[in-house]
Amino acid sequence: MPDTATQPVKLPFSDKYDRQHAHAYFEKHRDGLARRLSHWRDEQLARKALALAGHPSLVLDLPSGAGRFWPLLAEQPNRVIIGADNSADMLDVARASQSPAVLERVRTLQTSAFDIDLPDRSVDCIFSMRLMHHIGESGHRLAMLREFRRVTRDTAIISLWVDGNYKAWKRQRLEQDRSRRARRGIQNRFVVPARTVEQEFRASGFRILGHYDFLPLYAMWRVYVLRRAGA
Amino acid sequence: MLRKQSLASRIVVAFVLMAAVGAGMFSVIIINMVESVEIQLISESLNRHLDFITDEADQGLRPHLAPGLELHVAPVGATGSIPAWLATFPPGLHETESDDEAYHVLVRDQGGQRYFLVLDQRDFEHREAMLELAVSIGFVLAVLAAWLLGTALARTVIAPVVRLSGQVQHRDQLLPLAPPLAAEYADDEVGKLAAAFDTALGQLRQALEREQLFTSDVSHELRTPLMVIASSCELLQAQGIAANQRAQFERITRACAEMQELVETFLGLARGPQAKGSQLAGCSLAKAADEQFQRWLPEAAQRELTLELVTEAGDSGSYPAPLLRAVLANLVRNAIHYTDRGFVRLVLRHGGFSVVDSGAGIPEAERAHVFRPFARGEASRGDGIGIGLSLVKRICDRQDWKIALTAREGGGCEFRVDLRAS
Repeated sequence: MPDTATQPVKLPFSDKYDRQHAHAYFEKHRDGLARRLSHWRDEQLARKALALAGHPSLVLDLPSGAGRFWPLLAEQPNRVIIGADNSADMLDVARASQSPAVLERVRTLQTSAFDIDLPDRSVDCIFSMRLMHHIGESGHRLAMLREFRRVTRDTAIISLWVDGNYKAWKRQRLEQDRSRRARRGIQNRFVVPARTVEQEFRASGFRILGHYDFLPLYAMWRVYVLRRAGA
Repeated sequence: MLRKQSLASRIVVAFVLMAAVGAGMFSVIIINMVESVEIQLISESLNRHLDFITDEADQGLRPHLAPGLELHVAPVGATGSIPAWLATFPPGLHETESDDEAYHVLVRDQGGQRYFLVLDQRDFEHREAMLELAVSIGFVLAVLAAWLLGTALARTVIAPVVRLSGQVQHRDQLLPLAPPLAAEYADDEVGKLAAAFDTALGQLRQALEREQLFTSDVSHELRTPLMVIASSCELLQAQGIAANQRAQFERITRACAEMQELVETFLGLARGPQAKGSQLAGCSLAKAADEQFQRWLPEAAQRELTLELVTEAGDSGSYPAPLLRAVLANLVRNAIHYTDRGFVRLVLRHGGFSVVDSGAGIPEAERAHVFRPFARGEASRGDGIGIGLSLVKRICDRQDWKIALTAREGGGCEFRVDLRAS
């Protein structure tokens, strides 16, 4: 396992989010019926997860991306949101594209998920949508989870790709075709076996409160709600 | 046992117990009441039946018996023809058993004859079993309903309390921008509790801020006069000092330098944990150690101690200079003060150092207290107010450095500092 405690982790996918890409990312979740439906389901899962996490009032949205979940997070009137992302461009786009009423409740913070620029136990909940599926190596995932455990006081909500469904099975079959894989270029999204990731959650000091599937047995997306275990 | 359970489960247990006791009591009463009423009814109906039979016998008719009934008649005092298990009963209503069957027996003397009317209890027992079944189902249902109701009630009633207790755990560490708690709760007892937490935590935060501000203000204000003293000393030295004043002059210079260092340290500490010494000038361990070694050599010589600097392994890290200097200086000074003969050794390792002395050592009982402010050992010496080690501890805590005190074999003690948190 790489020595993640001292060496900052930097993964290739985090470089691609420049300004242009960030804009494209913001638009991506707005066009097309399928996208809108998917976003609606994402929001539904997020709401359920937040309820299970006990309606936290200080939430660190990491990565916040283009602030896709900020309006949802701001639905709870008393909530304060820290929108954090590795890319300053992404945060600029988020600030530019969200309504003032929402922005009033958000503080932005440019930070890496592996070395969060916040003191220990400084937020109620870390809300991490669509980050962990970019991390293929178990050591990196554990490093991030340990960092999450350091910063959160109570809970963490994490979405990722898991196996045990039709899409993951199909993906695995496609990947066996090596020539196809070579054409796709570097791989930056990974399916993690549910058992493995659950073991990693426990190993890094979290208790699993529950999970929600995007479409059970079909889609790969799963949202886990974790609670910090121990003192 | 109850004390260890959560509030919600205590409510559920209370509900279930209450229902069990209530329903149990009612069940017992119902069963007893119904039984006594039944016996009374049986007694009445048997009596009426016997009246009927004797009337019919008086009229010379053959007695007509309903199913389940049996009649035996014999003259009083000559019951030889009666089955043995019946013959001994005196007049009245009796319950008895024969051949595993239960019977009600009514015995009555009339007109010199003793009548034995026997009713088998099959019907009666059947009714009794039905009653018992109904009552026990009722009991179980009542307990079940109480459990369900208790769980539901506990959830809704206790939910805000559970939520609040989760929210206030380690809340002092939450960022200052965290919203107040009270706004999320109704204006009831829980809401008031939340508001009380808000106030208390707010006051705590303010007090901490004030303390930090005070320390940094004082340190800032002291910096200028100290600078004036230091530069005046330099000027004086340039102008030349009389030989008889040199000793005093050097003491002034040294005290001034120490004070400047302390002020730097306090400023560094007052900047709060977020800064982690990032704005402070860095220096290497070897450089800081050598500086302190040179500084304390004269005093050690004066006390006839050997001050040694041992480098076991090199270290390449850079650490906030004023804080490292303060830790080193306090530990070395402490060691020199509490050692009467022998040596004080400063050992440098990769990622840390130790200060070892051949002094009296610190008794085990006192070791735990040495890092507390104003704690001084039994064998305390004249100068110092006992704040040095507590300051060292505070610096180490802030910088995530580890400090440990162990006894050295053959007397003396060792303060071991690890500058790299594992």
